[in-house]
Amino acid sequence: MNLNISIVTIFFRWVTGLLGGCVLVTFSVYAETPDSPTQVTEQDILSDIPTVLSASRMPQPVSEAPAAITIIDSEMIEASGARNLVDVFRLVPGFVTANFDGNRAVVSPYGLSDVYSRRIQVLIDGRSVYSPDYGGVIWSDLPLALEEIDKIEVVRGPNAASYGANSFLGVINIITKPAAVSDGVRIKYTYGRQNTQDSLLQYGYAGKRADYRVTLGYQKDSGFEDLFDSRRTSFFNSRIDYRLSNNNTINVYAGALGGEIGEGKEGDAKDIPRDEHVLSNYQQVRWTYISENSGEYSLQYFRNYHDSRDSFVNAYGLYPVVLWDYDITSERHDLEFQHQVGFGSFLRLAWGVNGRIDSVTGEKIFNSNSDLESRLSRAFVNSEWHVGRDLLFHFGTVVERTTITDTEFSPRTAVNYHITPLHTIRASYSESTRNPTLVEEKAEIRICAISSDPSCTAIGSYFVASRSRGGLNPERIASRDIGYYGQITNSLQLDIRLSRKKLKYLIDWTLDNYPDALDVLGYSNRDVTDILEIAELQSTYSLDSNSKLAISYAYMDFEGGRYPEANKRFYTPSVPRQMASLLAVHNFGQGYKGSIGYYLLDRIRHLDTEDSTDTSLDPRRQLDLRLSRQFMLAGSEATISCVLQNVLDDYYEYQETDRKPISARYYVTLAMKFW
Amino acid sequence: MPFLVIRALMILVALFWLEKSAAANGEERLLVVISDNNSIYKKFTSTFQSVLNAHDFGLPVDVVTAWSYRRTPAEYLEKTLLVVSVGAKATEEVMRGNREIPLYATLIPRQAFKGITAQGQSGKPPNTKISAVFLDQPVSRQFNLIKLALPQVRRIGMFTGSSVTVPQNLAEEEAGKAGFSLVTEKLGQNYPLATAIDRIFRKSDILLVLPDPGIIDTKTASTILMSSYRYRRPVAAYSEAYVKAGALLAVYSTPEQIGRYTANQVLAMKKNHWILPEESYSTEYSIEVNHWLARSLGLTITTKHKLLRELKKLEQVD
Repeated sequence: MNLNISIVTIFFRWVTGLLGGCVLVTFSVYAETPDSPTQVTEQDILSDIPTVLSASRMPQPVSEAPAAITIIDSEMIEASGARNLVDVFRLVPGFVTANFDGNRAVVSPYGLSDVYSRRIQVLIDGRSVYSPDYGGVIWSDLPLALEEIDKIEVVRGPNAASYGANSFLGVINIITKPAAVSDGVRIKYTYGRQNTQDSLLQYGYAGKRADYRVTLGYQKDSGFEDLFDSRRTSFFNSRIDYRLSNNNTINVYAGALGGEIGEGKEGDAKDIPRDEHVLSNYQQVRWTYISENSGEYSLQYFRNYHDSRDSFVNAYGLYPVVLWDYDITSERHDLEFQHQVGFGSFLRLAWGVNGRIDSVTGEKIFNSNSDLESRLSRAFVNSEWHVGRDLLFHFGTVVERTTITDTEFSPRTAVNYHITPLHTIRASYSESTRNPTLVEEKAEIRICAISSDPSCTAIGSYFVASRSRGGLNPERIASRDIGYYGQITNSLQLDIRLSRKKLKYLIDWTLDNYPDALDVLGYSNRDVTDILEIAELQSTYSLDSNSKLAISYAYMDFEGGRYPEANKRFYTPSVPRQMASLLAVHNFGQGYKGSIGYYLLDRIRHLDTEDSTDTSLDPRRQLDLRLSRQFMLAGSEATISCVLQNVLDDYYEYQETDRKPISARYYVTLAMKFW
Repeated sequence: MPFLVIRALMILVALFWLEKSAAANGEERLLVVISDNNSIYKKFTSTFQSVLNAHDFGLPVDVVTAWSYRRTPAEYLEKTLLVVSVGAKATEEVMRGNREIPLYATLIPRQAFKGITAQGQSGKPPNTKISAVFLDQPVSRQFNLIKLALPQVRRIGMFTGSSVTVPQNLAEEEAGKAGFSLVTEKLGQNYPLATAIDRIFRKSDILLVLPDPGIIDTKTASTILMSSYRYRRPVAAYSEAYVKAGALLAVYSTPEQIGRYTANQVLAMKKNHWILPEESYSTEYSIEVNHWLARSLGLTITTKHKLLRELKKLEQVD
């Protein structure tokens, strides 16, 4: 971590060379800058006031929410210089982001994760994108552009009472911009290191009755150095907001993504360099009715589809022709009804019911020709009781049942006390579960030596890579929190939280022996209780209307329960001790904007890297810089921006074996907005 | 894909040149300069133009953004009988060079218009060739609405600050006329929000929030609205968005309404040798009431349609 001469040199080379170059470019462009008005304008009168939050499915200010929340708005996303969505989660206290390779990103609260981060729920406009097969979220396959995001609300801690199972260590709620604000044509092109070439074309129209937006995008890069992890994906995404009447709204969303993603490594017969073909799409429709007397009703249906074609033939061991078939397809249908209502001045309620069918096909992953199905039914209720002016109680619970789990209750209760209107303390207790995924519960991954027996059934004609024992219990968490949220001055906000979480039945890997195979990967519940304690802080500060600062810090302490020595797994190193982030944004005027992101992550070892202490990654720090300039170009409002990522030391992102450290990167982006 | 983008870009650039050259020639006309080309201004221009068309306006109407106008103002002003500037930015832009052609500013907050014209004149006698239609509402209209909706209200609270849109003496005078007593609290760098909110809700029956970019941003708006709920004191506001976010009621003009009102003013001007009318507030406006909130605050309020009818009647009598 020492700042030696060479790093200083590199730093200055980058900054003076590239950033300086960018400044020259931005200066020399024929430029006209829009004036920034100093007085009240029509925009001040006509603009929207953002309603505040959906932690309990009801709009609430942060100070009255039953959980700790981080909000990342579109300005922060832009300022962070993120090219991939996952990069912005470094701003959330306690959230670890890591890229296994150029395509597979992991966002895991407080670590505790392998390459599939299964202990967090992710929603895009109320649509769960948690994968039904392996669990977690396949971030690279989401048809979503950063430009479409209005804000991201991150609930830190379990939130099953609102969003059901798998809202285990947190919930990421991505909310896209209403179509009306994307009026016009936008074009964006990014060029950068690792052969990065991203293009984006967006058209939005705001009409009298309906607004719509269509986004087309293409992403291409060669991934990490020396790895087969390139990406060539195209996507489209769309949204229609249709106002049937004053009280009735229909939102339609649809998107698709397809392309090739590099996999494998040189010299590994089990994992040869190849392209995986992915295809994902979704359709979603929501009808909202606001009654003048009885609150707000909404009915939502969505379908997610994900298909991965990843099979290859290669010699292995004594077998000349072996079929490695990881093809898997999943589909989700989900229907949800919700009603939000207030009774008198003291009680507000959001309740609803939800039904879901997940089906997964993976012939060689489940050793089955038929679809595997998991059905879910769920009822939830969240309430908010105002007792007097300063006291607020929350009660909520979810009751849910799936094909592979029994009926589960996950309650939550919280109390918020406003010491003054701007200083609030909150205490809460929340439970949640994480259901076993279909792979954990039912996998039987067979690798066929097809020359001897193409049907892959006779003993000796296949290897077993993984075999589930079945009968897994859901993981359980109970979290006790105490927090403070305050508006210290008009420009300074502070959020502090202490949390103690009890984790039970965490699903872990085992090695099992069978008559047809030895040392087969399986899954079992840890029959111990693990304790996770967290102290965290986040703060935003506006120096003036042109300068903003957001900081976050988390201190984590994981105490793994005792576990039989024979198949021990170290959970403790997967939780970093500390992490911190800082994002500073300054508006220089004349269209110039600059930002600095600084991120610290303590020593960590992801759960699927080898079990020995020396494979832990060293503490890392990242410094990202962004400079942008807005000007007029060919009748458009154009923005040119330069992003330098990781200008400090090189570091290892996920593991050290088989790869080179990550070095500095740059991206140059030209964005144009026409009308 | 990159080629597709480049091609699309070239087509768009070509389209913009076409649009510009089309605007450059022609006979006598009306020039509309809009501050931006987003949906707000589109809503304005489409209503504005359809009203003119419906009344056989007869002159060509060119619409141009402030940015395009800025490059070649002289070209645009040639043979123009009247410039309608839509929004603060457009008004500022047209004010900059133009001294000859009558300028009718519209969809502009009163305070912004006063600020811009004061800058432009720098001590010289007021240019008679400028007038405006204000986007915001006269404070008397706000008070009258409160009186009609909540007859029990006696004390109206208001924040005052560096850039508040209504002078305090005017507000006090109008409050007196409507039979209210006005309670004011200072807000600003040295006057913290928490204290001001606490004081104002303790001393008044309703808080009237006026646009004040120095102080009332979206974050403080949320704080005020939530405190309103906590103190069980309603907020009267200036936009529909405010009511959606938790204010009890609001009177406001939509861009379409301002478009219609401005078009009618322009039609009258055409008959009157292009003599500009007096500065005015739009007589077209809407009312929004949050009945759900009203019930939770234990208040009964009549429908917005009835309120609108009564308010218009009251204004006619005045």
